[in-house]
Amino acid sequence: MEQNKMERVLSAGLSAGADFSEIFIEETRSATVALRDGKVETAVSGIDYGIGIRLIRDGEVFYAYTSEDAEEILLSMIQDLSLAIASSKGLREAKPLAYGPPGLQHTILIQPVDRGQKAKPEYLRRADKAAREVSPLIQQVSAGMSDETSHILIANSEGLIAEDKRVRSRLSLNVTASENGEIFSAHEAPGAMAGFEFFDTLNYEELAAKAAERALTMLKADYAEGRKMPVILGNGFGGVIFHEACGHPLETEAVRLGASPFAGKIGQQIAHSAVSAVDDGTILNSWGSISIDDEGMPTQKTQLIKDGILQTFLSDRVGAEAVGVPRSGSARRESYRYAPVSRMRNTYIEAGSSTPAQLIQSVEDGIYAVKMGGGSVNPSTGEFNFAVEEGYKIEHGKITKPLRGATLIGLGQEILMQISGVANDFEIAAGMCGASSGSVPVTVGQPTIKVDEILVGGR
Amino acid sequence: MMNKEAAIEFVTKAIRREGADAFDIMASSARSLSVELYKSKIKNLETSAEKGIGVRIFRNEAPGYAYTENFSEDSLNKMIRDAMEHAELSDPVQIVLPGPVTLPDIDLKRYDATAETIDADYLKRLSLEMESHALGYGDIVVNIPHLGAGLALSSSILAASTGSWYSVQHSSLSAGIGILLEQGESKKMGYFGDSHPRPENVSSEYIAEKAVQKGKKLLGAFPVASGEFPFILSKEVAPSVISFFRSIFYAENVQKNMSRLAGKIGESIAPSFFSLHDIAHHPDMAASRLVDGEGVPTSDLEVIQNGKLMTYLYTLESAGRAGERPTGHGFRSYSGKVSTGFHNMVVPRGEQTLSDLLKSMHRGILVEKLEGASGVSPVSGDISIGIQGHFVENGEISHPIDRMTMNINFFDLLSRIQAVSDEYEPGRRSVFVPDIFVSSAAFAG
Repeated sequence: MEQNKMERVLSAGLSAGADFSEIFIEETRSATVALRDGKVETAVSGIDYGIGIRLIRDGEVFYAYTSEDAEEILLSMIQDLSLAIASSKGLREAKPLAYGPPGLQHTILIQPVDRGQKAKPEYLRRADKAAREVSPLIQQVSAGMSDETSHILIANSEGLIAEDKRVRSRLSLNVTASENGEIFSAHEAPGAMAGFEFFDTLNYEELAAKAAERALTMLKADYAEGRKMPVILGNGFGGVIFHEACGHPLETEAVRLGASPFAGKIGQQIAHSAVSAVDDGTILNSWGSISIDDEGMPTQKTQLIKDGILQTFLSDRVGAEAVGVPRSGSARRESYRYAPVSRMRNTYIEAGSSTPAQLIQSVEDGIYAVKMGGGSVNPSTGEFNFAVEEGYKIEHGKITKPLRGATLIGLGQEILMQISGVANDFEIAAGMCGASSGSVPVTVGQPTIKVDEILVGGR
Repeated sequence: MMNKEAAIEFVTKAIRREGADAFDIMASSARSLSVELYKSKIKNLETSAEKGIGVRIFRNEAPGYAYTENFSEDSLNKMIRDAMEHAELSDPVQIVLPGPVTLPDIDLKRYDATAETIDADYLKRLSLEMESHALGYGDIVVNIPHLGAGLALSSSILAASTGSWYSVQHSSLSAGIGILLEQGESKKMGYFGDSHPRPENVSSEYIAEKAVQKGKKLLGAFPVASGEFPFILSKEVAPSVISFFRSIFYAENVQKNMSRLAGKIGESIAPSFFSLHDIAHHPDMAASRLVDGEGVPTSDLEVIQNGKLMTYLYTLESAGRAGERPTGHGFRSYSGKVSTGFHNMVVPRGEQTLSDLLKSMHRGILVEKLEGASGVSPVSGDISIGIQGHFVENGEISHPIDRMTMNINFFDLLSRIQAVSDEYEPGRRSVFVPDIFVSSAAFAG
């Protein structure tokens, strides 16, 4: 879109009574190839294209989006929004657009479109073969490779214009084992903000074998016993608990609606002193990283908790103003269909000094949750629930047998105070996070940690 | 730029020029308007107008998919080239696209023209009414972080190389509220939402009342000691529990060895009084439709009848693979591959009231809220999930419970069903399951 056309649209937004107007233009090409039974089952690609217009008036957000880019359609949508803006209208000019500071540059070595869809089946077949070679009990392997290239342009009435190109690639591997009518699946899904070079460097055999062995192990596992007990949470994806139970309530989108147990607690102890936590958009080529956020601000590393003390919240423009914290470059959205709000990027608990073995040895009777399977939280009450995909019983400081069917439930604000041990084996893992501005790529992370007591759902 | 009818015509001609064996096209356009309020002020107002088109092209029996939201000639041509390339990459499938058929003359009431007149003021007024009704419940209501209403209008066309051409139009007004309730140290959220093609059928008072009730009845909850208990899945949660496992009935999952129902057609998997039907043509059920996303005419289907598994749900591809007839359960948006799905999932009602079931259970747990679904696996059948509800003693409600988990395998749950009640939760639109009394599961607290 030409710059003078954007300036006219932004001015129309101000003239409609807004304090601030913004245009977000997106074109995203996504492409996936997926394998079933060793055959290419799915080959699909698509182009998502659209424009979002956001007007803000006194903290109220008015948002329109369309897949049409004709100026008269954009102006007509602003006219629709203006009917709901309760303020005086009048001709106002947006500031002339000028490019803001560039964000972090993530190196992309091979554009996905340069290698194309045809390059994917060979890698997927390697994964399929490796998983099936682990055991004749492996009944199904679903493997898919997806890439996405987004071109983003953001312009606002304060004169900022910013552009970004975001390239992400992800492997999805699901391995199913079956015996005597019992079926169990395990998955691996690494991803990065990277081009096809990410697929070139993955160890497909190792990932496939890991998922296959987990499926086989859990196929033969006993059910977990249901009661409160100490839990050792494995590194990497174990961090999903912090993400859901603590990360979401630390977003200004929850805080400004009074829907967070941490509202008003900056400077206060909200976690055990062993806990320091960060949300960092600047990790090079990480799946959850960005260069600029979806308001055009260069992203940052944000210290959320230091030695148990709450430092700040994750914020977007509206949330920062409502809550009274600085913007943190955390405004994110799934696509042009969503107005941006504060969201997590790469969120993790920082490494401590213990070893994982020391933490396990300190548990007399509990569970070692090596890999979590996902979960959710109600930010207003802090109630969370998480499934354990791979778990083991700990008896007298030793890992004894595999356990299945374990779910962890509790209150996020209480769990933070129960983290009494933090190991030194920090790792992060890729995932997708859903909230009011859609589904965005994030990583969760942590070293192995010890939680003194969680209710474990089982039998 | 073109509208969707012109885009379909352009794409049809271009694919024919490329020499595809067969193809189908899905094109949609949609308009929406929504408001979200916080403390009587607009938190977010949103309006949209969007469209998209997707193709499935067959070459040498192999399908290739692609889509675009940009209706320029360049982008449409690129979509076709991508789909042709994908067809070369894919392995063959046994799909025969259906030709045009005359559909039954039934008005499914999916669209109401009065919805076109809804504006932002109407949605704001509806939201303010919900807020006002909720605040009328007094100091117990401490915050309303989720409050809003929305209008969605859409139309889709499915066209195929066989000459099939079907178009459908939908309207929906939705409204919902999430209320934080507090009593002493106890805090609970109550959520409720409703939607309907006819705006006048969405009641602000009813939505607010239901949300308050859902949260209020759980205030003051505490867990009971862990153990095995009989339980009742209330009509509020039973639809979710059955829905979690809907994919085990899909033929594609049976063929992938991802369903424990493989090889069980004709076998008893539940008591003889329990059935599960898929209803396709009921005007009062929101997911009714006459033709599926692949142009296959739909019909009502007995999936479980008197406890016996009668059939799986087939798309063209899974039917071709199994040598069966497609059942009209292909779902597709312009941007995706065809998948399988139920239309309206219905467990027929029994004859006993919930009160009768509570008396039969005597002592046990009435499950009224589920905490997420991450501990539920349709593949293994495992259910390990946080629950809230009420403890039942002497056939009567005793006290609310929370911070508890329920652990059972779904296939055991089916075989342990003792009875179903005579009532669905009012306001249900596409999944209808009454209260289900089950003999036992493990609960931890």
